[in-house]
Amino acid sequence: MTESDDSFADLKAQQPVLPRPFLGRLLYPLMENRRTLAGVLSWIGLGIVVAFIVIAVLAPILAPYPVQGPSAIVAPKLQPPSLTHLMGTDESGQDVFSRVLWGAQTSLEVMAIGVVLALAIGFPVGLYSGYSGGAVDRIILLVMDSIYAFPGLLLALLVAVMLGKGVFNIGIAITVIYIPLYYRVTRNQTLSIREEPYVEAARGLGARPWTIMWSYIAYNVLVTIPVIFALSAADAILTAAGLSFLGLGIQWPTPDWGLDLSIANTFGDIGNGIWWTSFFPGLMIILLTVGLSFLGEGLNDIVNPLLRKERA
Amino acid sequence: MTVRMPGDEFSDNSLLDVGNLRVYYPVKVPLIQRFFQSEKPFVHAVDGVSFNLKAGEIFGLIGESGCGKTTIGRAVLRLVEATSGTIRFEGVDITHLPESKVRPLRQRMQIIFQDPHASLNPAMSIGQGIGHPLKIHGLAWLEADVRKEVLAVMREVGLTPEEQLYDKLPKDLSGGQKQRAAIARAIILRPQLIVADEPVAMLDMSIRAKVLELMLDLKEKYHLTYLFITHDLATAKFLCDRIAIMYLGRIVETGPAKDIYESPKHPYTRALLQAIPIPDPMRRAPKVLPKGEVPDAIHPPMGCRFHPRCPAVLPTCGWEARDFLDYLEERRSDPEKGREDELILGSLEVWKANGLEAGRPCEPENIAIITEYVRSVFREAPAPMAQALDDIKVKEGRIIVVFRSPAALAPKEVEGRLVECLLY
Amino acid sequence: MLRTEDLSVHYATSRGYIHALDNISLDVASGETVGIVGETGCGKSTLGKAILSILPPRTRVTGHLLFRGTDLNALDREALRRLQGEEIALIFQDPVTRLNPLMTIQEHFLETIRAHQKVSKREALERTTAALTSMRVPESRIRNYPHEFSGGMRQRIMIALALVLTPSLLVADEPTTSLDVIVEAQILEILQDLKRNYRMSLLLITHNLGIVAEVCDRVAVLYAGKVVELGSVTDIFARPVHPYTRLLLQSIIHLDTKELRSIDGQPPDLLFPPSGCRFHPRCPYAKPVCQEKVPPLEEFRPGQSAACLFGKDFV
Repeated sequence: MTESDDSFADLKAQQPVLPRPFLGRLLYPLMENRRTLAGVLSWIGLGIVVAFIVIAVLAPILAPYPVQGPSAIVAPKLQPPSLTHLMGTDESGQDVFSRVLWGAQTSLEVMAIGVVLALAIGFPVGLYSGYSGGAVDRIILLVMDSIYAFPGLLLALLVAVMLGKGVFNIGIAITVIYIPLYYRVTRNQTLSIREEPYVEAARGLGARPWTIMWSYIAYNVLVTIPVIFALSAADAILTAAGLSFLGLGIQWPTPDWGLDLSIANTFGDIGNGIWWTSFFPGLMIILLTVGLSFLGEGLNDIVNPLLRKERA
Repeated sequence: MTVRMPGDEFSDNSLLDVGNLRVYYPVKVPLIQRFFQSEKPFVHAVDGVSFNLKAGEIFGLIGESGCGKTTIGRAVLRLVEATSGTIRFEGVDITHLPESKVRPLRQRMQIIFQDPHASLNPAMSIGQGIGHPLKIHGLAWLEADVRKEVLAVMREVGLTPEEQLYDKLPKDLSGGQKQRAAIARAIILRPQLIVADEPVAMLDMSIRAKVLELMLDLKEKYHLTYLFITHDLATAKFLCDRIAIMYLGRIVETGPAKDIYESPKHPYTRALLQAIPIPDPMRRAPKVLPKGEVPDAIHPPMGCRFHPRCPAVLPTCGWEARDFLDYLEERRSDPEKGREDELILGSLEVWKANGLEAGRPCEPENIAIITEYVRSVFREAPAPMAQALDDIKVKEGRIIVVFRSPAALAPKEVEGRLVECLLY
Repeated sequence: MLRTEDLSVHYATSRGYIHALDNISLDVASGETVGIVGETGCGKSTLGKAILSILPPRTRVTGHLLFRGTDLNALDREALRRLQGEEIALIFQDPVTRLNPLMTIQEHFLETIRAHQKVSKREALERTTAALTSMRVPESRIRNYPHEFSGGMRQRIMIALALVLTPSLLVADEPTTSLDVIVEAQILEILQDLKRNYRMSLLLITHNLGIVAEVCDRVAVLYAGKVVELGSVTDIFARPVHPYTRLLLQSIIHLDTKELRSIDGQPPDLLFPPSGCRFHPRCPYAKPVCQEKVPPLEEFRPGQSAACLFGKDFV
């Protein structure tokens, strides 16, 4: 039996073992880089996103006033921000602050359906397409590129018009736009990882294609997904807001930032000096978008050099 | 047709029997260009290679990059499709077996890669990676069983303390440790044949010995057979029982390692041995190196592929038009000759090479001058090339230099080994 | 020509300082070829980069780096830039990544020449062809792009590019590592010719002891960021003093190897280098004092020094 060539084994063994490979890979770089610009950005972004998720989940508790139905009309219309109504009231007498909090829930619902579904479809298809290559890949690529070529908002509009009203339908419209994006990213990563020696090693071990795709390629592609996820989520928020602003999908009296902006616009509030009905919903949209962007860009700066270094 | 070594038994006794293997890769050519070319270009990575491996031996496949040794290693394991020829493993012809039938066979033939940093899955822990073959071939399902096996094999390859290293990711290990993990992964299924593709080339010198020792120990213990692919002649000398030297897709010399190192027959083998830098400053000797570099494998030289660079070349070795043009290009670096050549023979672009013939368009009044000049060029050329000149003729307004057809080349038995060279 | 005095380089990382080089003192005389040998992580690449002042940002450099008497660390960027290329040139391991794939060879040369000297385009072109033909690169290919050449050719082009401004010092960082053995021998021949014909100083950084024995006059052996032995090439190979050098030489596999030898353990993590002598955890002759005292570079024979407390036992 040959002896070990690692006389520092005992020291190395003391280093912490990371939880699961994937989660560890994500958190570890975040911790490592907390002092760099990218790290700080990521942390701020993460903080904002988490804050929004908390707001969305706890909206029923946090909101001082109800937001739908006749009980929502709690005060005279168009009151400026005050101590009882932190963000004022809107055209129908509902509390803007409560609407804004509940709006987070709506937004995240749309996101959950839209972007998550897009990932759930785009990722496996991208994997399969990238790994198979040949005609299969070409055909799928053609289909996806055609969808991708469409301006996002326009396509979402069409889908939304076809499907009709409702939060769920808006979610589907978002899904349709983002499937090609996740497909592309996954496919491209798959193409490059497919050429790595460890994938060939897997074949050499006798692994079946699906095993290779999942255990060897998918896991390594997943690392790049959070960045795209965050950035596309930011984009999706804007798209969803845009759709509801245009009057599609989400209908009154469902609380939604885009919808509230639309109503404020229709009633010409700004012209009349009523700023709080558009400012606060708009601010929320911007904040969430910025938070997601920070997270995405920050992660990108951290994860990418890491990927490059590991190949050295 | 399988070439046999003297004293060989039937090829059924060999663990691995490769007959006239060819592996060609198509060259990716843009669609437009394909319309203009009559034939599809191929990279002749492996061009007619035959050898066999006996159980329990270490067979070295040696050559420089681009000679095809890596491709052979892959082809033998069916990781790359053979274009033609036969591969027999344990007596069974596996050349065109469908992938589903090859997969179970992979239990008995494994590969160790060159780059330890890239051959382990970065997403799997060491334990998972080493144990994965067990799950793939259904030899163990329960985590506990797999873990036991893996820990045992980790101890064997020296990856200790195995309990701690089991959960580590590849990036936490050193190069030497990663290579041990790759070896562990390869032997956990107790294969018969292991293809080792430059297993120590990327490791530090002080660690190489350890890994090679490990490989030898495992060979003894599990009666393994190695196909050892390398460019490092020194390591191959130490390790291998028999070796085959490859050049540009063909085997030029093959036989017992000791014999070949003691008295190499093929000029390329000699050149390789000479070129190795010796770590002893007292033994600096002038070297006779082949000139130029390995030509590309899409259009390999005619006849013996080594002929353009061989220091012992003969007129019948395969001189062709391209050699003539290369010689003309060489002359250009000399200012005097270059100018005269340019004047009379014209620029190099007007000459076209086509197999044994090199020609250029030419007006009738210049024929005599050019013919005479070409003859004088040949008088100055190296003797073997000059003697290979067959004729200078004129046809359809072109002046054509024609070379003699090369002699047929086949492996011959010389002093207990096979050499493919016209010198013998 | 070149001299380093107590040169230390530390990289700042989020986990602390990596002590890549620690108090390196060596010198290269005019016309001399000095080899810097070591394995992965010994700091030899860092040394090459330090000499050419191409270290990454956030690197602390202390000590002196003197080129012909001028301290390179004290020069401003413009003066440094002029020095690089004109007086000091560098060739790398893999020319693929070092040559601009979007520029033809001719453009590479013209840009380099005219960045440092005011010459006409015609003269620059003449110097280019002269440099290339001396490296046996055909003139007809001067307008090709780097990817159209083979590895050996590219290395020769890199050498020609480095020499076109006739530097007095050439630093070669693993120049033949990615090349085949025959091409490597050809390149070594070229380097030896350069030595003879141009009286150029050459600093050869490599892990391949074979090529060091072929080409170098003197050798410095590096381990974990420190010079452990320094001397003439004949002394180092025939009469090594430092245990690491001896073990390293024994572990080389060459044509006459009868037995496989290796060194236990692995190179230390330079974030937390071992105390005292950095080789002590792996040294078969280590004594307790080796863990406490840092051995200085002592001269044990004329022209040969080693950093070992028990050096004279090995002489």
